[in-house]
Amino acid sequence: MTTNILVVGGGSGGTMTANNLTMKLYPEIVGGKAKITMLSDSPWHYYKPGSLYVAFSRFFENELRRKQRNLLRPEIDFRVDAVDNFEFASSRVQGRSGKWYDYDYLVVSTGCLPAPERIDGLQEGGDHFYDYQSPLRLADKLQTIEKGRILITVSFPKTPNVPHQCGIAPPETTLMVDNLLRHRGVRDKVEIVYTYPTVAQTVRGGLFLQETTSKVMPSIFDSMGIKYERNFTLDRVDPEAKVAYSEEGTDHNFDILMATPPIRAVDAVVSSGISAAMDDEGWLPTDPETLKVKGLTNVYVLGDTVDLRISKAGGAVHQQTPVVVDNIASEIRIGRPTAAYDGRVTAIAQMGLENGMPLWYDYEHEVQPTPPNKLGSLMRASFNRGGYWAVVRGLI
Amino acid sequence: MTTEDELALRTTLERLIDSDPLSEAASAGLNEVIDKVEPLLAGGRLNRVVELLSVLADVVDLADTHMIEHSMKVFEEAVDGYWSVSNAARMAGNEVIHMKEPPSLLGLLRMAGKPEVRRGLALILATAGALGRGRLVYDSVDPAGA
Repeated sequence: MTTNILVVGGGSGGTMTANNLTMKLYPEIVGGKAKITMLSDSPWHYYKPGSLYVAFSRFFENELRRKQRNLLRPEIDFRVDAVDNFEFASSRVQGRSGKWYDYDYLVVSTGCLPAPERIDGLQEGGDHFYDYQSPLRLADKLQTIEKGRILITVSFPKTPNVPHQCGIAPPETTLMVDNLLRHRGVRDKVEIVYTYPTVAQTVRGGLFLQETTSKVMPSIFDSMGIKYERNFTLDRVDPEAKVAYSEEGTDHNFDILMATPPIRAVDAVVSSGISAAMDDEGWLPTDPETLKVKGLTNVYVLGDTVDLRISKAGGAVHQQTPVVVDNIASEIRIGRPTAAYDGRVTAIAQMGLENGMPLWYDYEHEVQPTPPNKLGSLMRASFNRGGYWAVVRGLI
Repeated sequence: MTTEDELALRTTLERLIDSDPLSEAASAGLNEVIDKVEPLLAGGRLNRVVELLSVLADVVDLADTHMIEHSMKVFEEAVDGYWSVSNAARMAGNEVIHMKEPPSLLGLLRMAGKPEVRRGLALILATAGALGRGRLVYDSVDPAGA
């Protein structure tokens, strides 16, 4: 009898998991006792963290994507068929083609989507860097602004203690904007205002989603002449008047609104019926150690779709994948999962255009900020320009 | 290192160890490091480490995003090559090892008729053509200079 493992989602998490599972279960696969199938909605694999560089005219679309088939071990059965329907009770999913796919183990790695439409006026009045088209528009604005005001806003999911996408991105891009405007020679005529909401997971009235980093941010912003304001939870935007209003009753005018928008899970996950997330956000209830979906014995979830408090970022997925792989392999071989995720996230933050800062944290420890430096930036550039494609193949 | 230099270094280290901001644990850690560094200092081997750090610092200073981009392109192409060859070798090895006996000549011809085999052979022949066009049709040494 063949054990069918179905991986849904061709992003970082799904690709790494499918490739690493193939090598982990190679004896079973060549013996016909296990089979791995991947379903994705696209023949392309996008390097999502690279999108923020598009806003600074440093990446083009063809540099951010590769053919998914070329990134997968050839033993993996890859199908371009977006999943429209999860039927957990009968262990099967339905593709957009109408075809049903049965599984013994399912890995859900469908990521999340930017949802600026969830804040009135943000879609029309704001820009973000979580796809390709929006940062392309933002790039034009950043390259042409001569004077005025750039407002940065951050919106968290409504579900308590769930972060927005890529926790470090708002400060990263704020510093990058500062550097870009200095290079263009217009920084003294453009005001940069960084705002942060009142509730940011467990932090209240801070400037970042972790207390330690939140406390050092004012000194960084002060040294660069960046203004900052706590307790600004974006409520609505007037795109005509170019004014952003907060739930706390304050407002800011802007020439460019660079927003970290609300996010949600993909439609099929939202409508799966097992999410307890608020506001139809769709995050799957996740066991923080085994990474199984709570209440389901044969479904694992990783990446942006989880309801965990750790970052929705590639640096989290890279640490979650080995746990899911080990647990599926050990369930097949000895009947129980053996690995536990400790919440570890690793990344190199782009602190301005020329500096980088390696960082890590987990369930027990917060990020300990260190001085950003050029070596960090070169490491990040190396990862952006080639390291990533080795990582998703499971080679690093 | 002159006697004055050694004296200055010792004084600096002693001042570091004795300075107030260092905790007991940090002092113990520093002492441990000094114990390890001492033979390197005595034999002049630490100089090599300093020189190596100097070279590394120069490389970081010289490197820029363009250099990284070009270098990582080479890295990605190398990974692509390794990926294609190792995957193909693993799959082919697995296929061959499960053959009960080697295929006959007719069996080999039948294999060659499969579309994926023909595509693979076409890739090999196209690669040979590219190598011929790019590398083998001219001499690597200028004959006029002979």
